[in-house]
Amino acid sequence: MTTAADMDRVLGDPADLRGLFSHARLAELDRAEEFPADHCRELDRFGLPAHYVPARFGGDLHSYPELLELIRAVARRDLTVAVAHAKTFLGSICVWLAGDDDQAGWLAREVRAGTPVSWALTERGHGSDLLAGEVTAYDGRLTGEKWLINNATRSSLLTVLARTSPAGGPRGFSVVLADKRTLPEGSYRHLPKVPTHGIRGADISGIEFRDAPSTLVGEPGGGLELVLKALQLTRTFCAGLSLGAADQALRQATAFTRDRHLYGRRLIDMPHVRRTLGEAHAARIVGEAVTTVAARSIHTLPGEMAVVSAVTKAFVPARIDELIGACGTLLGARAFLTEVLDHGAFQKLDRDHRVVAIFDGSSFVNQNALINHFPALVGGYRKGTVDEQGLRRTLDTSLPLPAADPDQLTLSSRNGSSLVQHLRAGDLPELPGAAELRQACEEVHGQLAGIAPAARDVSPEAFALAQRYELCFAGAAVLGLHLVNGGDESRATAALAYVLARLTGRPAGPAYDRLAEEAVDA
Amino acid sequence: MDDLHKWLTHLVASYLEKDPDEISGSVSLATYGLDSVYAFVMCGDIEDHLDVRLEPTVAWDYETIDALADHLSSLVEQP
Repeated sequence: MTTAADMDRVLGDPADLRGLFSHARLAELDRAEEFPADHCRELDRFGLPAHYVPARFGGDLHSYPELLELIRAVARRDLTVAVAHAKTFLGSICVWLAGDDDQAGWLAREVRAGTPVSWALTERGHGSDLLAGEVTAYDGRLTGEKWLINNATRSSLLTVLARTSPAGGPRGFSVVLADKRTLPEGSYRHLPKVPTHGIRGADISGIEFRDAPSTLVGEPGGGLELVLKALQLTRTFCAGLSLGAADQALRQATAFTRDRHLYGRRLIDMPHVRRTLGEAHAARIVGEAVTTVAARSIHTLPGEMAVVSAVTKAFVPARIDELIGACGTLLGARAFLTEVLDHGAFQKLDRDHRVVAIFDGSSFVNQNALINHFPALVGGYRKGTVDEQGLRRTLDTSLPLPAADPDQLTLSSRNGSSLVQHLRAGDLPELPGAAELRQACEEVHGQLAGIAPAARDVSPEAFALAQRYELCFAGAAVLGLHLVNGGDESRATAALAYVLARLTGRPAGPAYDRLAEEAVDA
Repeated sequence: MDDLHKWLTHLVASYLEKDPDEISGSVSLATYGLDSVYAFVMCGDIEDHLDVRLEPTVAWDYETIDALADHLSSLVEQP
């Protein structure tokens, strides 16, 4: 069992030029577009891979919130390393969810030993349209090309979504596992690394199979269902990457505005700078609240993860992209320079983070999933459907989490979201804006009721409403966590102000200012 | 059974904004352009109508209105 604090010790002092995880060294790799192989090995030595393996298969993954904190600690230092290493978690998750004990036990030993595992979903020309996939695995023989796959080249093992019945359709695909180390010569070839805007060192490449033997993971024809369930976990996991990037961006912007003097005063003493910094800090608090609820919900409200994961993936990376943009404004020219201020760490994370909103389902894909839930969200809200026990265990962070049960995941959350629905009639904390949030949620659900999900052409208005629902969820997360756990009132107030500013246009200013002052004094 | 079949036909027609007469019970829903994820919306509507609990993937496993109606009536008729 290792913690995020242990991880920080392993990463060492970022300013130490000799350190493997120093800003200087990481910047060098980025410039050379070189894979962080030594860094991944060091994380292996530290035992990070064991945290990708569920406890029931002998690993150290007991709690998704803990896993997210670990990956956040890595991402805080360097997103490229985090994306490169954590791919093994994404690659193995289908086996954790659906593999039999022998297969999962075998993979658990491989992962713990540091074998990189990749997850091959997308194809050239098809992207998110998974059912258009042309890679086949008839009788287990893989043929065809997977492209834009993280670690396609570097991995030894791949889980692959492949067509197993010629007609395709939602039951026409299966997940199969290929072990390159045992594949006959000529049955696969790697496609070249693709140059990228960010995460330049990562192995974003592809693989072409030709009659390559593979083994089935889960049920034949169960591939799409399995992948969509796995994505509920990985989309939540992505929020850990975003929060790590937010930590680094805020660290730099906070220190810079505190220490930099212009026009005879500190930057932070300029009202607009203070407010901008405060808003960025508020964005992180909101992102943390959503992520905490989401990661705990894997254990406590698994049947609602279709909604929870879609909100999390659509909301958190996009808000953190904005946060990074705001920090960039505060840093001014230093956000643009590649060698000064921690060896250009900011411009690197700015580029690196862009991918988080794109991979594992873009914002559009996740918002479309939410739109399909509108009837369930409205129904649940009107009926006041709440899994009281599940919600209590989600929000009370002092409670231990029950073991995650993948059998409880489902592709559609029948009851909507307990968190949001609780807001309608549950207790409200004494926070400025709490009652306004409840009122705003009431209005949003009224608007949701006016939009029937469309079978084909989903309207832009529906997407705008999905964004408003995300804000309801985020506000409910802030309120719920504060009500149950207490904590710093000015942080919760600013976080709620951040949500309301976007939901109702309520001016948030003074709450941000206080937050910025606290951050600078900390 | 006939009622259920008719209700399903109207439901599918409403999703597709077509006349129910244009919808055949033996053609797969995917052929009509109902995508795999939209099938979950349909599942919710069926659950509300019949007051039953279904797997969200029920329309993946019973791909036509005929097959779905057969399956659902067998569920509903169970005591």
